[in-house]
Amino acid sequence: MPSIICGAIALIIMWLVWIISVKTVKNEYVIPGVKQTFSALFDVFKEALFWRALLRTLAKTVIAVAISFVLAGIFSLPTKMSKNFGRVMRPIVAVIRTLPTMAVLVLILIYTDRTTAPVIVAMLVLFPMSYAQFNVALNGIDEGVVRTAKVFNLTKKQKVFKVYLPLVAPNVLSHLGSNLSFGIKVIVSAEVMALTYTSIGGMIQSANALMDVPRLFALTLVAVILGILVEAVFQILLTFAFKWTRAEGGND
Amino acid sequence: MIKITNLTKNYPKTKVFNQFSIEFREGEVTCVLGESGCGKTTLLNVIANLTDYEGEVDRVKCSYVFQTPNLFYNLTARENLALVLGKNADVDGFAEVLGVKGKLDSYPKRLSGGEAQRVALIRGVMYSADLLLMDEPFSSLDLSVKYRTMNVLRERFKKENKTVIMVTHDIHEAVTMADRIIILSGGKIVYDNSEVNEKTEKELFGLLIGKNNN
Amino acid sequence: MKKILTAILSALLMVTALFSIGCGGEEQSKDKLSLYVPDGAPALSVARLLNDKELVADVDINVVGASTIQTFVTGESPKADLAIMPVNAAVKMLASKGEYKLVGTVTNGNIFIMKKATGQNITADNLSELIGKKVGVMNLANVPGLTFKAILSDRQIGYVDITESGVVQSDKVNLIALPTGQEGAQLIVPSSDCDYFVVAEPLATTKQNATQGKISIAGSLQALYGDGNGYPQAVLVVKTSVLENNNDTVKALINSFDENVEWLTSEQTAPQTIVDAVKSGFVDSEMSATFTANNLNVSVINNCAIDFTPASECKGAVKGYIAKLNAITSNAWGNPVDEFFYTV
Repeated sequence: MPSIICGAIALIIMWLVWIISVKTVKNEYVIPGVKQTFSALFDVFKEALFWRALLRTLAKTVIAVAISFVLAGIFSLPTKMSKNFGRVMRPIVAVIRTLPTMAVLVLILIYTDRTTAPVIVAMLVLFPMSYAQFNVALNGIDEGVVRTAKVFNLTKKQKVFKVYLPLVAPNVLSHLGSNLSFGIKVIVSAEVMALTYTSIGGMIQSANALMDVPRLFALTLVAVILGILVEAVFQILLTFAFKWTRAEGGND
Repeated sequence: MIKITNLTKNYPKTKVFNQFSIEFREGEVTCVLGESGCGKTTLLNVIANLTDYEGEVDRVKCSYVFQTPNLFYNLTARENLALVLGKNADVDGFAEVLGVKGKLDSYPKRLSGGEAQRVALIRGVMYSADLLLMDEPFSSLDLSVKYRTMNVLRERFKKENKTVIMVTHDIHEAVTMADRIIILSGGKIVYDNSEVNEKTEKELFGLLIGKNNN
Repeated sequence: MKKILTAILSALLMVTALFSIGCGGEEQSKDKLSLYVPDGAPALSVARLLNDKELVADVDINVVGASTIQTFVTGESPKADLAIMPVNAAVKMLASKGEYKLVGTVTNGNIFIMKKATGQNITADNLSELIGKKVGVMNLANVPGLTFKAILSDRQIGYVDITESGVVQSDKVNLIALPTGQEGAQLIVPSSDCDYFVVAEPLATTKQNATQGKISIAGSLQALYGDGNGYPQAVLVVKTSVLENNNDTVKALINSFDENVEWLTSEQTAPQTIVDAVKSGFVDSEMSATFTANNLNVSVINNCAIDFTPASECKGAVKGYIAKLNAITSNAWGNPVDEFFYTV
């Protein structure tokens, strides 16, 4: 079945769940109706603040994902090349992974500002994920390739830039879309906690304070749609890259 | 001369070599035969320093043709060769002889198994090293390509006076390629013939196939 | 086909879960009226009735989280026959619907200005002391922050929210939003960048004690608001049908408030007794209590300004307060129409 039809079916199911929930709960202050929410959504679209907030939230997400991605790459390469380095990294990454990030947000807020704090919190969440993705990709490199690189005395630079990084790139970059989508969720949550005003999270917090539930739902919907769009766009971009992964591509 | 002295190599559940010693002469093509698990590939990996071991092994610069091509699949065949042999290496001639010149600009995923293995052979043979190791290099080639390739390589090895250690299961391959044939069994040399001739093939059949029939 | 079935089953599961949430909560006796109150000062106002459930035997008192009170008075069949809730929420959600009426105010503000060691006490006469200073406000977007802004506006004192920019303006009161809960409480320290803080009880007294007076109460929003009589913070709303059919019970509840306050502040009433009484009314037994024996004392109770004022007397104050909040928030809180007040 074409994926667009599967996507449409999923959308219809989610729509039905929403409608059934509204009918079941029967409380607009708990679950607002579809019409109310979309009306609030269109009102939000008309506000200049919303577009500024959207851009800022997106920018923070991209920065957090990019930095954690690069750091993960930097730390995973020596992890692959040295068992001892990997042994040192393992407990450190475990601690970062299990840090209660929202509690850490408070500490971070003392030393930074409302814009930077969500980015740092998102990096703390995303780095262990990206690091694990890199490690899986690096460990997934065919052992034969590793042996070949060793036997033919490739330099470290050749191993890293000509072999390891290009070989792990499709695998790792395929996760980047979902990392971006997840990053949006983390950034928005952190913005709500940190009271970052010109942001989707800040607008959600304001809607909550003013008990404007349809607006709150509308902004949540924006975050969800943004996550889906970002992931979809990324997947499409990836299909145009890495022609050497396609059996039918190749000979140009 | 390449010496291996008192080699001991064990895997968790298998003992492969225990105080094993052997010498390989320069300029000689040695084929190593033996049943599966007798340590043929392990021997090559020890020489290439791709595995841990105890004992003494003369360190020489090695080239290796693996059983599978092990091409870097993010690079075209030509780029694979350039990475190892250098950008200026003239690979076209040898590639034409092996019948893969027209495939050099393809990515490994677009090559057949035999084509990829021939590219790996070009890489291994042309790489400047003191010793060429080959682990069942012709197993993925079809018959006609295999015999043509074997002939080409045999000529080239003679011309260049190359020192080669080749592992194979195929008696005919061994007899065609080798100056010396050894058979390993239980981590020991059970047959060592440096005068390979027309009778050797029958002899080996008798040894290996006859042994299996007993 | 499998994927479609899986998706449908998942959707059904989700709906069932949602339905269960909607039906959650304690079972109520059908003969009794149910009163819902948020934890905090409103729950304190009925603690005596929770301690001795025979005092107003016809009313089941349910203590819920402050952020959930609105779910018990809204929807097609609201659970609460009576509720004590923030006045702004009551007006926004109930004033135009006719299902509930506002019977009176129950608490009149428990929000305080706190200073650091170098700060001054803040009264109506020297509010301008805050100009050019940084004031950290917990819940800036809600009642505490809105009330504070209303007080400044009334006195034509300019304010600016510098939470994001951090750029202090010398001719205005610089407001900085602090997170709520523990996260915000941790930022109220002597080493903070802020010069003053706006904080509700019991945190205000807790901070004063914890910092040995390095951060201390410097003034109250109640004293600064309007003519100094405080502002309506929490109100009692009652279903119109209950007012018609159970008027005696409602009157008994209303009449109990004065004695409730006496009981709270009596020397014979230990703080632990009050805390246990409130906890006995928790709908969710796992909820963490606002007040504990450590942070509850007579001073804190007095600071909660528990005092019942009937609708006939507080109508003007409520309307005035909502008007001031609306002026700051583009009419976010709606219009408290006369019909919403039970002035019989």
